[in-house]
Amino acid sequence: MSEPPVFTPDHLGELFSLTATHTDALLFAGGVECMKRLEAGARPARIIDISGIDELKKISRTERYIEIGAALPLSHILSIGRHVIPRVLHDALSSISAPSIKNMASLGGNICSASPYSDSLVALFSLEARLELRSLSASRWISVGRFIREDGSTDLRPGEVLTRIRIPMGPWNVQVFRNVGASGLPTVSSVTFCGLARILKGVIQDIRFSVGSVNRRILRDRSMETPLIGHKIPFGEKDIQIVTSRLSELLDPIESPYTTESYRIETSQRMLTWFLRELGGLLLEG
Amino acid sequence: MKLSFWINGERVTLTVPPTRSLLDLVREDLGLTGTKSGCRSGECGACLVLLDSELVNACLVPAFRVQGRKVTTVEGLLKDRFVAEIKNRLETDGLLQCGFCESGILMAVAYLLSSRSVPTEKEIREALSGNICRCTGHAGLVETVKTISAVRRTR
Amino acid sequence: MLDEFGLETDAAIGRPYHGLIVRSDAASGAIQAIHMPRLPANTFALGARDIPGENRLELFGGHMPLLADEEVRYAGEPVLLLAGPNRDTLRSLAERIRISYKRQAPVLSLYRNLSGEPFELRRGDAESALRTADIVVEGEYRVGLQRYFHLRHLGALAHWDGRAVSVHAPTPYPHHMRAAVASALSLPQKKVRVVVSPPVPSSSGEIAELAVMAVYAALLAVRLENPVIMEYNWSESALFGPNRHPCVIRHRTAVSREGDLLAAEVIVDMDTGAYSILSPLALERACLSALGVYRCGSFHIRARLFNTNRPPAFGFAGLGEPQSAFALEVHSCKIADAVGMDPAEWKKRNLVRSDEPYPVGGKRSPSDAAESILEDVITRSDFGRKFASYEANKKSRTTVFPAETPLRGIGLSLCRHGVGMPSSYERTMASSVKIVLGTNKKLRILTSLAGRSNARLLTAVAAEMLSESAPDIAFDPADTAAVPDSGPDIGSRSVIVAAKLLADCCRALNTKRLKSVPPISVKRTYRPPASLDWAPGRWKAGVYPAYCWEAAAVEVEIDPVTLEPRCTGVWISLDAGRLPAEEVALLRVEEAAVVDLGFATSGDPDHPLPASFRYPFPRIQDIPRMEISFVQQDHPGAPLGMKGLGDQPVIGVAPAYVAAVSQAIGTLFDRIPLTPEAMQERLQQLEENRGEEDE
Repeated sequence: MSEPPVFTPDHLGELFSLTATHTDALLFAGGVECMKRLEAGARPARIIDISGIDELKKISRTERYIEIGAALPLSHILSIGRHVIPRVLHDALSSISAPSIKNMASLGGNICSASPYSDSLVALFSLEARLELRSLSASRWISVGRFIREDGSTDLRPGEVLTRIRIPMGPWNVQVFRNVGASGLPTVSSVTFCGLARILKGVIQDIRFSVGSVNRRILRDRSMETPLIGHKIPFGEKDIQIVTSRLSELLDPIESPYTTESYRIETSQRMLTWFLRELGGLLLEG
Repeated sequence: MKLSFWINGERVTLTVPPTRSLLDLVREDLGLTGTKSGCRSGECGACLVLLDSELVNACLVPAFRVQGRKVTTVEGLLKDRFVAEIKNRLETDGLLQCGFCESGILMAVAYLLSSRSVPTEKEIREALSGNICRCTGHAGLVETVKTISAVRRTR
Repeated sequence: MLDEFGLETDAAIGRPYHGLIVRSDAASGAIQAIHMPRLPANTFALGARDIPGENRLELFGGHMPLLADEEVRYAGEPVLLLAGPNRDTLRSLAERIRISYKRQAPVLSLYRNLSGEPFELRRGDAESALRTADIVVEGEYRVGLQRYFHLRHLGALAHWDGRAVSVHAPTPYPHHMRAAVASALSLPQKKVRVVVSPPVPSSSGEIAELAVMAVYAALLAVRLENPVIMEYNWSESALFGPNRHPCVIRHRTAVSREGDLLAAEVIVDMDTGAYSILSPLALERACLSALGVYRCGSFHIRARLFNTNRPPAFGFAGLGEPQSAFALEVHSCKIADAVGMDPAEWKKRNLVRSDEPYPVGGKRSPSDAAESILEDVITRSDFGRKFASYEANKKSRTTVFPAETPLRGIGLSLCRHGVGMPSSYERTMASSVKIVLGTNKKLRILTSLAGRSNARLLTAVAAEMLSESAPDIAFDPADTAAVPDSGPDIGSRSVIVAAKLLADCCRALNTKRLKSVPPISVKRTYRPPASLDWAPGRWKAGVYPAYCWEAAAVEVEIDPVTLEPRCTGVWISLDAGRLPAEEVALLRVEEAAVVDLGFATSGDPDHPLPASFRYPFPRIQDIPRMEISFVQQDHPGAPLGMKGLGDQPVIGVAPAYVAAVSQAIGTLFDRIPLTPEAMQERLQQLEENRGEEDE
């Protein structure tokens, strides 16, 4: 059995030259996903270890957004604190148990794996994170919602590398992340929910919610959200029902050995109903 | 590949396939069997080691990631008198049965106490959330860690 | 490689080769052809025809083939063994082996293939009583497949020196393993030696699993003339290792208006998978616990084993009792409800009294603290008040979401566990313990039950029996060449058999020392007392030397959005006789309670073979607070008044949990695992039914 050659670039320029030439290379950031694949028998032609590139591990914050390097371990992101990174992102990342895993896994790894069960993606979809993709000759930004397609594939082009994730800061005065464990299986959820709102004087200025672990891709649909803008809270039951009916049209659960279709559909709807009913009570201080 | 790194304070050089896991390397190539091979997918915590003082699952770390770095396994950690005492206490108070999870739990506890001298119950549970013990119910373990950290603080 | 955690066996004999099992991917069918790639030097393949002796493993009344010969009966059945120096090479080789089958449709449902004879117990005329009763309560209860999930790899290391085989394995029953290896290799038993490499799992299922691995390792070691390690990895252990017998239990019970249990019909149907290995024992135990601790005049209990094309159920902790206890305890909630009683009152009313006979299994011993543990749990959990309050909530509520009142419930259970094995099995085993007092005042204890926790217990017994002249106590290594066969280390036999024999040995030693000088050796063999001569029809006869008792209360609150239950309280009270070390027992009970809770809440409800699986038990951050206490009363006839050191599984948490969730949601659930998905499905069914009623 032959071993793939391993490249260890230490700066971005070197990385992009490698990815331009070797478009079939497996990129190792934290390596959590990659090692599981190797253990399962995958044989990549080449490996590029990107964990040594400092530019991919920076984190910076302005008033309007926070930028996180794609190869930064989750534990480092979390150590910045709940009041510096958006609360829902903090809660989503914290829900991944095991300190050792958090020392290895990276946000870039999570995003590129595009798992339907990813906790971080649910938050990033609601936050409308934008991703920087760079290659030897080009650089572009794309929203996470466009980067991950309906069928779960990503828009990563040959030679491209996800380098930074930019997350707008809000402001949001309601931030909810909830994770339903698939009966007794802490590493896989059966429903994940993220809700954000900005409410001023009892009126919705903006509202967003996304549902994960049900469809092949994180579910978020602006057409459910925009009709609620300008409403006063609490919502009437009828208004809530309109939204949840729309949700049930959009839910299209993938096959899962851990949970059932009806559970995920019903729980997603109850989750959304709860969120919309409870908005007043979920307002954050300050 | 030619791999050079530090293991428990000693420098070693090995020729290994670059994707060989640190777990297999440590157990089979270096004969340090204190680190255990459990699920081999990062879920059970039996293979926890320190890589440059960060707690990681050795089954998920490829050899090429270890070049020039410091690896500490449970054997190395036990050279510390305090850690040896934790082990002792865990055996008499907290862990009783098959002992397979012991080294992973020891690593996780030592890692916790290196950054948190008096952890709360919640923090202890979180720190151990990546460890599976199939034989005990854990309440004893949590109590033991609380006691140990209290004792250490009074020293 | 003996590391300081003592888990590895000594490989000074040379670097062992690895063994690998090539498994069937057909669930049912005839093997037509096997196409092998060219094997490199030092690599060997072995099939059923290469077994020199019997292609058969026997245990506790059941048997199974070691390797599939002409047909396969479950997906995953071992067909070939490979061994060689490199694991990765073996894996690639295995991928290139092609086995073709004439496939048949697998039988996955119960009731198609009866295995062996049904077990039947009949007393009085239950049918008439049921026909004429005021109130008849019926129920069907299901226990799904439950996997054990070992963390460590179970395995065996075998070495052949040209004349004899030695095996190292963490087996609870080394002498059985020796016999199994000898039979398969067609060697006399004295040419086979088994050394127990601790720590030892003390559960019946591992006996068979480890024996199979030992035989495989030995077969390969002899052919390769090199030591061989045969191990299961994490996924093999989960998929093909010990699993609890899935079971369907039906109850029909006649009850008086005052709530007295009058007559019962019980049908216990167990799925033993493709082969029945130790299942007859499980079936018998399930039968014996079918009516548990309640008085019942007439009954008809039928128990049947069925074969399906699934991996054989090796069974574990409890072996038949947990399934019966689950069904009975949930059914008793239904009965209590039917007669308008609170479950605690119902249990107290129908509990067999001290010195009174059970429906099956002898008389209740005066030293069994049943009322005390029940009262203890009721008091500590505040059961009566909570039950009434949650019952009122339940009745007044019209919807689950949004919940008008918090969704809370509390459940109660009361069970007994037979300690040791049924006397009929003990009689066939002739278990022994030997001691030797040396000239240097050292006492050596020779027993095959020398596991870490047993050593502590046995040392305490010996020290007590030999009092002030307490010598240095040490254990000879559990090696079949050196120690006598003390039988399997399951069901607290370490207490009820080994400790008892040890006490007898010590007593005899105390007498002998008055007349002789060391070295003095004493050996004693276990014979169950004559009164334990249970058989169907001999209702007054005892089955077990003792029963441990368990009472449990579980309180839950259910999240109305996600239907996830959260245990807000778990109270357990046990009578295991006298406990030499309560802290030790506490930890073991806690573990067993966590496992029981895990079985109640997760697993494979319809047991398909999952493509991938995850660890199903609660992890440290999910484990609820548990309050465990012991009522300690001396058990006569056991050394130091002990019965079982909290070595027994906990089996009452699952039914108490299900009862609590049932009260919280407002409908009786009758199966485990009970998951939020199952609750969702039931709620939808209820909605639909309500819709139909309204039409």
